Amino acid sequence: MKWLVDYLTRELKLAHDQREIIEYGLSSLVYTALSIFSALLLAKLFGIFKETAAVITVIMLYRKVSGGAHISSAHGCLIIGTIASLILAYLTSLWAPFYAATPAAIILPVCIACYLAYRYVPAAVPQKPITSIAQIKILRLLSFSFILLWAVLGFVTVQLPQVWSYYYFAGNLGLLWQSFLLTPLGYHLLAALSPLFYKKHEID
Amino acid sequence: MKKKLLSLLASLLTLVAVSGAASACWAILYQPKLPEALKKK
Repeated sequence: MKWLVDYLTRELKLAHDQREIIEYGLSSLVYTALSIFSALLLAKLFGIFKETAAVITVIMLYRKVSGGAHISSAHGCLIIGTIASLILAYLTSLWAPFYAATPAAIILPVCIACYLAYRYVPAAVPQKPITSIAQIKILRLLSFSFILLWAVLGFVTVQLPQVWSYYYFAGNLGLLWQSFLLTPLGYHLLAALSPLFYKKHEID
Repeated sequence: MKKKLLSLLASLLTLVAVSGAASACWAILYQPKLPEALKKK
């Protein structure tokens, strides 16, 4: 990845600031693509591809506007993110056939997400503090809009064939997981997992 | 031509970086430190 940034810097004679921004943008693209790819590849092997796709779509979209706890290393993120998505997709395959079409399964996750969003959004991290009042307001508005849209989609899926409720259930588990990561307990959990992924020289 | 393509790539990556800075965080569980240049914007 560094070679591409070096190459662009050399060819376009970029200033230090521009180089930093481009490196940040490239890292964002590469790590996000890697996370999606690894989760979907393993999901395909385990036969839960569509469930995983539904889970990670909701997590990623909601996460962009709500924030939440983070792992301190990229490979830790890859491993924990993939494992979490696969577990949620597996739980979907276990529970959704029985509970997906029940009113509680459609309404409860949205209510919980709404409450946690009201309490904690936007949930910033030290690496990317959110200090602007305008940005806080916009992110809260976008978070509630997302949840509202998701709730409307829930009522629409009830009218559709049952397979839609099945995947909506997967999305709901993603919504609950991401909502959990907004809470202090979610921050504690990822802070406790982070040291597992430190490199040896970081511990010494 | 090569220069134009590289400029386009650099612009796209800048757009991704700026949109990432405007959102609450990255879409994944990892979030590196925001560059100082983006904090100023």
